[in-house]
Amino acid sequence: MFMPLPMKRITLSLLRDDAPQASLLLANYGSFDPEFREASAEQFPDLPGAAWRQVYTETCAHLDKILAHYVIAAPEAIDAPMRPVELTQLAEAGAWLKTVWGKCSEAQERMRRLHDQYRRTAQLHRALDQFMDISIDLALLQRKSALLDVRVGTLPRANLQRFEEALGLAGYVAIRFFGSEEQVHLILAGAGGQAQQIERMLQAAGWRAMDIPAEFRGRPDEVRRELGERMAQLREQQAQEDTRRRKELAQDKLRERLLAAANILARAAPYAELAELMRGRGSLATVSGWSPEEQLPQLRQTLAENFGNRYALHVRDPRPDERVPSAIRHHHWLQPFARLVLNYGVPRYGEIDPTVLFAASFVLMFGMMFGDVGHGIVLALAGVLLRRRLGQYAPLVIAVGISSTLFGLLYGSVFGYEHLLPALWMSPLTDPMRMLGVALGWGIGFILLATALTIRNRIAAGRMREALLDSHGAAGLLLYLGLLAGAWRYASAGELDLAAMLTISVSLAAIFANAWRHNRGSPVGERLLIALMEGFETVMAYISNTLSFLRLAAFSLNHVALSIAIFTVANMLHTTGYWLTLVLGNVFILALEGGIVAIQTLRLEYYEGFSRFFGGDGRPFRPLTLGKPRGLAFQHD
Amino acid sequence: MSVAQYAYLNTRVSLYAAQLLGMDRLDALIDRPYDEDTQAAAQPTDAIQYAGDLDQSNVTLLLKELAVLIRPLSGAPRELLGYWAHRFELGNLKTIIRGKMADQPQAAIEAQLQDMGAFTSLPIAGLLQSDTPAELLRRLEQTPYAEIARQARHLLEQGEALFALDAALDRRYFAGLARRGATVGGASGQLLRAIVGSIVDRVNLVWLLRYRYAYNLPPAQAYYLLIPASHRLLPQQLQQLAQCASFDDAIASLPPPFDRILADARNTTEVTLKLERETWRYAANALRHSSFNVARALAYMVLRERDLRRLRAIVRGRNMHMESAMIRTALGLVKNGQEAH
Repeated sequence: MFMPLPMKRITLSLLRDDAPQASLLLANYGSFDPEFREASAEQFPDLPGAAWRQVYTETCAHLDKILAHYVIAAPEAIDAPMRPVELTQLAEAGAWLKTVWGKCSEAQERMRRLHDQYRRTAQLHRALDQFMDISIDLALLQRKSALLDVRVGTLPRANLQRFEEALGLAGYVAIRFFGSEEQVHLILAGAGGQAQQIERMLQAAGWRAMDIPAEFRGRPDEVRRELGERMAQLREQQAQEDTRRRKELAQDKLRERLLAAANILARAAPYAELAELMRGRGSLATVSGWSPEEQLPQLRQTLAENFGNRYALHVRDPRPDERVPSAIRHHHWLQPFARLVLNYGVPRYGEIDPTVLFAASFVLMFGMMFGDVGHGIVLALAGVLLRRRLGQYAPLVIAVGISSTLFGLLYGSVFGYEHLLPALWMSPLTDPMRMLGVALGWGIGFILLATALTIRNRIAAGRMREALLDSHGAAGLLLYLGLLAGAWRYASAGELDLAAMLTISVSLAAIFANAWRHNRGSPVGERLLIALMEGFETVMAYISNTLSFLRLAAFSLNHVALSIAIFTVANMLHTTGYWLTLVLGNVFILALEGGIVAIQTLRLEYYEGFSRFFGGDGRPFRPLTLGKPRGLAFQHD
Repeated sequence: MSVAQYAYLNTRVSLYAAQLLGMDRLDALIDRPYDEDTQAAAQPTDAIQYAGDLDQSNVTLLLKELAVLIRPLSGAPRELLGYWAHRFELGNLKTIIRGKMADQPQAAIEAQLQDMGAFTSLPIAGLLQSDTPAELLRRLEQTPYAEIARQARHLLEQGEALFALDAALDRRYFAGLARRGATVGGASGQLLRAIVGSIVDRVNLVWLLRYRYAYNLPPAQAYYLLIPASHRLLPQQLQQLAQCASFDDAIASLPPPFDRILADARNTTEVTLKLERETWRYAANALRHSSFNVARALAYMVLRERDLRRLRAIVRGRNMHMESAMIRTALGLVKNGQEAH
């Protein structure tokens, strides 16, 4: 519960022919995290699964594309998960899927062409708008003739009047057919022999020739009708392609066959995944990895049942230089908290898994900052009613809701009403100093616990010097205790305590010496500066981290203050306005303040807690599984 | 504002700039006895790591440093620097398209690709899994390269050579670079435009000379294939150059300052080298004489790439037992007894 599961390094050696079945077995076992083999490449030069992996990868790619084409979800459950797959069976499935994909690909290409044609036709349809004022055959405007010079283009509106006048001099006429504020569209027509005359004038006037698409043949309304019909036809063809695709799926039991192929691939996946990690020589194959110690008897039994004496399983303890994966086991209810812990990092093997402590302190701190019976019940109910939508985070919402409710009972607060229920303890606003004191006490306890965990983790990792002399180690703990004792004595008796001063001095000297030694490669001046800054930073960090917990009290006061503000506004209104303000105000508190409190709680956990004692750079346990890519392993109690 | 905004970037660039290779260090690397050069000679710039797969390690190193420089940036400067790395991905895209057109096995294509790390935007695995060129282009249409996919399909349907597609991809990239360079304002923008502009001018001129006098394309087509952007070489000047009858005529018709820079250039390789030096001169100028701006970051990347290419050439030359003088000539480091940039 507080530590990753004890692990063993296992090496499984067996006959090469049994390798696919062994992979399947290990995937079904569900607790084997493969890692690079212990044997060297010289001893075991072959990769027995290389061909398998190649066939699998190609086949899998085809299947994925086909499933996406037919919009079929891959099967979640795998039939007969222990039934072995032969390479020939895999290759047959691959060949069939390649043929199927060839047809799908052709269909996709047809769809793509239809889509492109539709897009092009729609563009033409839009472009036709500017010619709708013309009632002549648009083909005439595209035709080149020696006798008649016809041009279509645009001109800045400001130049239009002079342009038309000048055009008359050259024997041309201009017909306006479309326009905007700045530009006007024109058709120019004149005798073919005069074309040279107007070229320079067109250039000077800012004339821009327009290309009329070759598809525009006939009068604009006719072209529009044709384009509309063409678009409808293309839509129809696209719909036919869709229908054909759906029908194909029903024909020859295609869906069933595809799902059967997906099943074969899911069972073939473990051996494909092990292909790069499993080595072989002659008729032998070997693979190694990690498995939780407590599940090894199950593995031994399964291997014995399936392979008799045709295998050798070598089990040993992890070596200090090995990066052992951390398998974490938690109750279903703790999973949302475990996810938040993993969001920060994976506990190192041998390191304390902070999930339980995190869950307890998160729930308590949230409740303290957001204590209200009404709001708590709403949160808890939301967690229950929306459990499907919230998924694995539902237990977290329910837990913080219950915590808020309990603290609400202590504070005597229901939706901001402070007098409906008698406070079992006190309302935060009646004695803010007491609240601040409690928050400070909680912070001190939290930091002491975090530092103690740091020391324990470092001792477990064999980092004794850091455990003793580092600012987050025993020296830091002593310094913090000295600071607390000194502050307490000064606050209560108004004098400095000699023992506390001595503790602070000794611990600071230890931290200084550690920093001095740690930076021994640097010049003396720089080394001195770093060591001094380290000591100063440690003192400041402990003080500021402790004061940081005052936010627990600040937010509980803030919660009451917000409620008072809402009641003040509500009391200024009549009945409807009063209740409306109360409801909206409480929704506001729940959504906004609830969110802020959750973030603040998480910040306290991550920054004041985890950053102290939790390395978070452990290696996650990723067991071999059937089909799906391997994710983080959560084990349920 | 720019001091506070670019303090981290400026410090980082200054730290990185210290590892740029001066002429003396390059000379030392070229002249060092053969048995030492893969070890001690390469130490100052970690050159030893280039001994393996040079291309990939160079790209990885450049992208690693770029990732550090890009971290504090936002908006147009970030966009510009990120886009600079984009050309390696274009190289990948060309490799995939060429490979699929030639029906190469997936593994063979994959082996030629550069690992772009965090700068990857192409769905490489998906593209590699395409069975046919048509499928590849369909998949490419689902990416930010949709326009390229459509252009590629059109070119291939017209029976155009892959060269046209490569040219279209490069043209699009450099036009995008010029556009992004133009969006950065202020003094930093001027320096950036000078660097980017010199790159655009170089590419335009080299392409023009190559298309016209190596591939014998007609003036109109050669001009059309150029980048639709320019800096000191104006479109009208490029049009006039495109109409020159020969390479020598084109060189003789160059406007200032290109007439001076390229006066004795005999082929496109020399033109490339001389104009590259111009770009490096702009970059070195920005790096040395400005501070707290994004232009320094781009300048550093340009010079760093120059160094890596030079180191790669030196290592290759040494491996082939080439004379020092030959390596220098190949790198364009000697001109009439004078050292170049």
